[in-house]
Amino acid sequence: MSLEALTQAALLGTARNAPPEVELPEALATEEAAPERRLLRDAALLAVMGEAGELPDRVAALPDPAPDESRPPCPPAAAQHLRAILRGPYEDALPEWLNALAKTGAVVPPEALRELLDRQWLAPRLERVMSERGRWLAAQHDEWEWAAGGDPAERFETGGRDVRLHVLRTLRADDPAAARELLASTWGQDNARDRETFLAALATRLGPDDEPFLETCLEDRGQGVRAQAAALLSAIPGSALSRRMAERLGPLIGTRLRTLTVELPDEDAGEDWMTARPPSGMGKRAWVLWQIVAAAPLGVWERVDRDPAKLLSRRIADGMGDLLDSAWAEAAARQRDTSWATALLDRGYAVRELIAVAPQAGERLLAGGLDTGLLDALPTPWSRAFSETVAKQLSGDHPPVHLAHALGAHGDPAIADRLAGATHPHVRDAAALIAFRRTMLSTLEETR
Amino acid sequence: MPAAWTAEQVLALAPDASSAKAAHKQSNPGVWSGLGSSERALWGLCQGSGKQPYETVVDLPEPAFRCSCPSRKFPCKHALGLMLLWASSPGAVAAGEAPGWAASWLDGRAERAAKREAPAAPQDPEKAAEQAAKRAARREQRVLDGLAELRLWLDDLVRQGLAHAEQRGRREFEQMAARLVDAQAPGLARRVREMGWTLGAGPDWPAKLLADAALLSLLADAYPRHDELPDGLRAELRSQIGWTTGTEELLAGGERVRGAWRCVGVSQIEDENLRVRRTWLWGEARWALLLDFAHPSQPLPPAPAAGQTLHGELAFYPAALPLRAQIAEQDGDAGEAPLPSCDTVAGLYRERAEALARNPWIDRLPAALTATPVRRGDRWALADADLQAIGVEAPSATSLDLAALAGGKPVGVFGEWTRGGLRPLSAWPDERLVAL
Repeated sequence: MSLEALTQAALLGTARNAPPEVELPEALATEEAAPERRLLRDAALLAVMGEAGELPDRVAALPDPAPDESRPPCPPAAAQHLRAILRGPYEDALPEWLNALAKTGAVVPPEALRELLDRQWLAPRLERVMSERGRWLAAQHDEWEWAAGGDPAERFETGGRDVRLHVLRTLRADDPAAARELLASTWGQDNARDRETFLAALATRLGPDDEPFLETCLEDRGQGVRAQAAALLSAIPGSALSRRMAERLGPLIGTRLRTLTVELPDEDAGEDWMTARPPSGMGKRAWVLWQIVAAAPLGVWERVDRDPAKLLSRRIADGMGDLLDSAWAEAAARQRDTSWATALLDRGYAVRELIAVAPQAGERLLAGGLDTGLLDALPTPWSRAFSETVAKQLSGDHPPVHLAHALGAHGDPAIADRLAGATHPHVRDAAALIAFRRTMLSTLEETR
Repeated sequence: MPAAWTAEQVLALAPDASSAKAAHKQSNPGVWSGLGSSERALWGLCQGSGKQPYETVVDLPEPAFRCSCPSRKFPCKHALGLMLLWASSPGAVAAGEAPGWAASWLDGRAERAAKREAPAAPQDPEKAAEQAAKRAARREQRVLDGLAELRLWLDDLVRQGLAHAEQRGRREFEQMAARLVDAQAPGLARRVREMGWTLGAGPDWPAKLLADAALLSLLADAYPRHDELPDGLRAELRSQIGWTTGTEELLAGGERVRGAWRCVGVSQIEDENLRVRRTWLWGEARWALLLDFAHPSQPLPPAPAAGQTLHGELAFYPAALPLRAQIAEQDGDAGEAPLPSCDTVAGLYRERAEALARNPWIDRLPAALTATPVRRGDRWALADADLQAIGVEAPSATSLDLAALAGGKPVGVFGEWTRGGLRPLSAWPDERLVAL
């Protein structure tokens, strides 16, 4: 006799239908005469008996446990800091914390895994400190697929776009040749957008071995892919493309006393990988020149001056100054040329990519007129001197909130004491953040 | 010196997430001066945005707080910040003599605590007892009258049928609940109101509603005879009606158990009217539950945080299954009490059957077991070595955190077990308890 039959009777009501008889053990027998009373009493007994007599659920099998860790665990004190970062006001310190943990060789603590795996935008940094436990957990949840370990080739072949990009980048940092071969293996089937995105991953650990593959990409159907390949080839010293560009550029360069002259090339002097249509306002030949200068090795300019700072101080004929600055900046960024980047930044040419290549010059430039928009181009932490400069800017009555926040998140923790006595809330927040970073970094330093 | 607190335990005291964040900022040593500590207390001056620094004192054993800042939150961010600072760098809060402003508050607390132990004798004991007895008798009559009405109402519900009730809607349930509130039976009123919400809710609503009505009917029949019933059941019935046992009565009559109690889990629920916190303790081979209520804008009284050990005497409220308790007395002892002994799933089901036999109305049980989290589609279960399982009823974040902690291996888990499933509150993969 089940509660179900009684429930049916209760739904209809005992006024119309008598409730079914329920057989109960003698000790529980009732003398209730009224049908509604009988029903309620029987229902109470069956409900409690049912719940008390409920048998446990069963599972078919226990899961496979996560593999043991091969790397040391996160030190407990550092794990506390991570909790303060994830749950408290110090989220900005997370990328720095992850880097510092990576240097100790340890892995992230299990209790933070869910919150960290949800932060896919930090995938490259998380990859270096991901535990076996984390990969095991990620493999069971689709939204964390990017973090699941496994054979890179298989994941690259079958995964979604995000996962493929992550796998390629991770592999490239570890084994550049294997990454290139993996990319080549699916090249034919990938669409143009994917080809362009994935090709950009070869910028990491770029080298002469990449040249043959990149040369084939110069003839790709997609314009974006061709341009991307050319940019990469121009950054490989001694590549065939960069030699060709040097040959084309050389004859165009001249000097007239202290003035630098650059002739425009012929309209057909370009190569197939170049874009034909110039940006608006620029003539066709000027555009060809820009592309040649951007792709030619900066060493070509040494015939004029060995020191780029000297070269840049020359007068430039025919109003070519802007065009050349722009092309030189492109070349310096691609070739990661510190002295050219420094020279350009010192002349006030403020470009994010140049700041990343020459941070010291970037700091000098930014100190002169703190454009907070470019502050995040500087690597974290800033130099001590620059941090002090920014700290000074915050001592007035109205310290700019973005500047204060940037100092708190990216400044050199060694200056933390300098902000200690601050009264303005923006600066006090920055002081707390930078003091926290100092503590968290020293804790991780101690365990190295 | 009492056992040092960890940052996690300090943060558990924060009334909300924004206080926890603010506490971190206030733990920066740069804003503090005049820091000091004694065996039982911490103090310091905190530089706020005003000219005068705030005076902050913490009385550690409970803990209790006092701060001169104007914040309405309790404990305020300065008190939390001071405790956080102390938890991470005890050396920064060196031992010393309490300054005047801190000493006067601490001494005042010590005096009041002494007074509580020796309560003042009532003016006229006979008169007071007489008045109390009259009030109780009046209330008893109101309750009996309310129950008689409820009896008729339940009979009617079943005669006319649940389908009929669904058509008529919730309103009649609300009205019956209001009459029970007038009859001074708030516990019954709550049940009737909840039954109203079950009407038409989900595919199984008729069976649920019938079970609820049947158990309520059992209460209505049993209560008038409660004097004839054994002590535990009588106390249970009174508490189901909604009679509360006063603190004095409890401390005078309740079962006292002294020992070391480990806090194994804390759950907190809040709606627009009320905040309820359940603190579960394990000690002396038994469970204890500390129940605290507050209006959302008011502070909750202090209670241990998950992982902490409380040394002292608990007074248990009389019940069929004594669980709810109050802290009668705290010792200054240090040392960690052991974690609960873990059951198998089968063992837990047996315990539940026994609990239901003693108290058919019980709806929430503490459960500690060694189990592995197993995922079944969208839902999780905890399975033991015999492959038997209890369903988990919790937000997915909690289940994922538990899965990460377990790593596919068995872990100790503590949670609240209700009809819907087990809600994990903490786990211990090694000897360290992690609150979920």
